[in-house]
Order: sequence, then structure tokens, then C-alpha cells
Amino acid sequence: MKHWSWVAALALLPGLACAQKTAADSIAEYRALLADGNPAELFEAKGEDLWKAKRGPKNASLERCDLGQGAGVVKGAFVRLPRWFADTQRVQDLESRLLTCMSTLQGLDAEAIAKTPFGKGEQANMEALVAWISAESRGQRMQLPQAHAAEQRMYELGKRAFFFRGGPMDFSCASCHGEDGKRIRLQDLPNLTKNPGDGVGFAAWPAYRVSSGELWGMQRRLNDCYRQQRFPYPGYASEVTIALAVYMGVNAKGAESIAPAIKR
Amino acid sequence: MNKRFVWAAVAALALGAAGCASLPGQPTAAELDAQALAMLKASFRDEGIATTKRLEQDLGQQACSAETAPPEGVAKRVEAEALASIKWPAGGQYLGDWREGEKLAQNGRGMTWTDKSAAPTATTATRSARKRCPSAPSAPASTTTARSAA
Repeated sequence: MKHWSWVAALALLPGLACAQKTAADSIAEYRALLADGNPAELFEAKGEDLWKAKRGPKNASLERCDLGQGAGVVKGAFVRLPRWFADTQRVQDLESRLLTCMSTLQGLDAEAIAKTPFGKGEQANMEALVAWISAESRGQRMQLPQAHAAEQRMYELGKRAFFFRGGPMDFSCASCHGEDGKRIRLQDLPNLTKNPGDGVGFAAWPAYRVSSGELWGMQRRLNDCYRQQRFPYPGYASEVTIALAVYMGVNAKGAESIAPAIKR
Repeated sequence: MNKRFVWAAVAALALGAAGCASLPGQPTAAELDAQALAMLKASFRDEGIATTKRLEQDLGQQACSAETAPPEGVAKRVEAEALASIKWPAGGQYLGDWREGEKLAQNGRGMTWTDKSAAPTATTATRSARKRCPSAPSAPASTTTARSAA
């Protein structure tokens, strides 16, 4: 009896207020408090400067980089990526496309950047660039092209990767993101086999993560998903990461992009 | 009669082929399956304890890697294999220390490439409990402590 009154008293403590709301309520409230001044803005400003800055062995800016809508066109590019690029003969996501531009225009070593740990050196610059480029399409709706055979093929490969079960815990992407109403602790998990809604899932990354104070691009998001799945390490800008982005992005057709969003 | 039968067979074969094969230049479903496996193999590398060996699927993983559930016969085989692989507790001791079991269940960490050991870990329970309540990061009260107080 005494024990139970203790439990009741504990439950009334303000520190436990989150237990009385649904998980989603708490997270939404927390995000609303933080979104009023999303630190992603700082990364966006840095990214815009980096885009225009003459850098690398060729002392050139990225202003002639073709993100799919023509050389130098940034607005609207993000909601149409990944897509097929004729010059590289590859389907590329934003980050692998930036690697191409940094290499061809600025003379930077794409392979070395791909091997650089997240948040360090040129990878830190990459985060700022994806923050700004995605922000330039904020409010637009996801509309990845699927006309090219290679884009259709990548969707099919991405779907297969999404459902591929492996590792010591039998996880696939679909284990957490294959149906509605799943969560990890307080985090609601979007169903990525369909359009999960405006500003959710694929339409919310890149994002600023409050818990770590970092700006994560989609590559880093996928990398940490695979870490938690107990999979081996996916190479930066590797084909599986791009195929998954095509699968999620095409499924999210019509979802409004809020990237760079703010996350717990 | 005979001739007509042959024609019908040819027509059926052609229809069947058209139903399975895709347009010229487009890969078939089986080709895409093979390409997806090759893509996975080429995309992942070893990191710490998480080696590419983890991509080698057992029967259950292979059968449950599609949007749809496996056919009943396959599902039965997966079930039988999984049941056969269960190691029952020695000496008929079925109930162990449930607190240790709960720690494991509430934790969910371990075995990733940032972990040193390939064993699931239950040593960071307090850390994960604190993270569960992000609106009160400094409050020591958590579901775990509330339960142990009771």
C-alpha cells in the first residue's frame, strides 16, 4: 500500500510529465519549441558561402554545378534527386552529385572525401552544402523523375535493399519502416513504403539533430540506420544508399519537403 | 487436330513468355534480384565487429526479404529450422534471473560497429532510461527507477 502511494507521488512529479502524454505529443511539443530558431540556418548560411567560394586545386566555385536542373540551378533541384545524370552515366543523390562537382569543377579528391568521417574536413562542408541546397527547395513537393530506365532500375534495387533482411538480429529497413505505427522509444517511425506525409521521412532530411548538435544529410541518416540494424558499413555515396534514396523518394511523391528539418 | 493442338501450344508458350519477360532492354525480376545482391556486396565493407559476413542470409532471412510473406511451405521450413536451433536451458531450469532479462529487453543496445563486443549489452540501462524522457533530461526519475522503487 505504502509502495503504491510512492509510485503515485512519483508519477505526479513534473519530471515525469512526458509519461502522461503520448510519445508523439512530447516529441512534437519539443520540436515546436526548438523549431523557433532551427540551428540548421547556420549550416545553410555556411553552405551558401561554400557554394560561391573559389576553392580546391582549380580555385573554382560550385556555381556551375549541375544538380539536374541545369548548370548552377539550385532551386527545385533537391526535390528531384536522386536522378539520372548523363555525364556520369549514373543515378546520383545530392551528396554523390556534389562529390562529382567538387571533383570536376574544384579538383578536390572525391574518393578521399567519401572516406572522410562524417562531420570532419570536407564532410563538414558537405553537411553545410546539403543544408543550403535542400533549404532552397523548402516547401516544394517531392517529385523524383522515373522516366529513365536507370532510374526505374534503381527504384527496383532500392526496394530489394529495403526488404533485405540480414545481420545477427534479422533486421531489414522494413522491420522498422515497413508499416504504420511503429516507434523506437519515443520516436515515431515513418512507413517508408508509401508517402508518409508532408515533412516526414525522406522529406525531412537533411536535418539538424539536437541530441548531437550536428547537421545530418541523408547519407549519414542511412549510415546510422544500418549501424542500428547491425549491418556492416555502407560506403559513402555507395549504390545501395542511392538506390534506397530513390525508393524512399519516389514513394514520397507529393510530400512537402521541410528539409533541413529539426530532430531530437 | 494434331496441327491445331501444336498451334495452341505455341500460342500458349508465346503468351506465357510475354507474361514473364519484360520489354527489351529491361531487366527481369530475377535479373534485378541478382543485381541487388551484387549491389549490396559492392556497397558494404567491414567495420569493427560488423563484417560483411552479416550479409550472408540464412533460410529465414532469405525467405523474409520481400514485400510479401513467403509461401506456406517455405514458412513451415523456416519455422522448423528455427525451432530446431533453439538451445533449451540446461537441467530444466527455465526461470532465471528475470531482472537480468528485463535489463536486456529495456536496453536493446550492442552488436553494432561502434560496439566492441558482438554480445548484446545490458550495461547502459540507466543511460537509455534517461534518454527515454527528452523533455526532462536532468530528472533522475525514470520508468526504471519508478518500478524499482515500487
